[in-house]
Amino acid sequence: MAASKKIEKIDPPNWKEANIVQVDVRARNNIEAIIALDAWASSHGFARVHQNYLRVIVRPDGNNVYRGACYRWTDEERHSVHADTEAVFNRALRISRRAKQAS
Amino acid sequence: MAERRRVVPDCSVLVEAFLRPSKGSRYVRATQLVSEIRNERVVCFAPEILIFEFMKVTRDLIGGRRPQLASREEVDQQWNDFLKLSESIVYIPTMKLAAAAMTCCRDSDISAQDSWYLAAAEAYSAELWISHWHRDGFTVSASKAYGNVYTLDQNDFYFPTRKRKG
Repeated sequence: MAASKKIEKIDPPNWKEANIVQVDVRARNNIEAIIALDAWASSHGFARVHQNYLRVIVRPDGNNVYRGACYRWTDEERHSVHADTEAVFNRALRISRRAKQAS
Repeated sequence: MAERRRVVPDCSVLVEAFLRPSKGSRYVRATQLVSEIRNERVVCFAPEILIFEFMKVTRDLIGGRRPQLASREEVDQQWNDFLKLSESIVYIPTMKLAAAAMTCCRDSDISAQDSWYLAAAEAYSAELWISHWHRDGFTVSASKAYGNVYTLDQNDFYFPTRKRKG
């Protein structure tokens, strides 16, 4: 089943204007749903809100879907992640340098 | 709608990026992999044992069985940042992987610890990333058993199938 066919519903319907959306995914299990949700998010300028377990929703027709949230992946988000990871890597280099001096 | 690249990093990859950077391409590739996870450009899976293994290395830095090599504050910060990265990682429940991990362990001559990473990669058709060729033969055995196995030493993160010359 292609990832696009697993997406059942996007809320709100005018999601192109929204910064946060809920996405319902039809999938056999949680991981398959996460993979489909990730694919949808990255193809549409969003990122998945990190949850290891998506909520299971019973639809009126009796079928289950997995529901997850996504937020818009903006330049501001990207910049913040970049700054944060740079700080981590620089700290690692400092630790390593000091460990080498000590040994 | 393209599915994103899937990766499983061995603990050694995250240790390289967070705690013990080495010179050269190994460290650069480790930071590329971590950046890709944080930037939502790959889907990262891991067995839960990753948290335990990373904690063990962290403890060693603040003087577990060895001399203290880093300040507690710095190590706490790296640990917290590892936990932050973990929010972007899909941890596969131990019980879901147990049978497959045992099979890897038994049939492929892989240590009990390493077998969880191979089982996770196999389960979700992900690339298994290891920092370097291990003396215990993990990389060789995993490559024979699964194939989709790469090392930071040997493989470019963005073009993993392209081998380094020489």
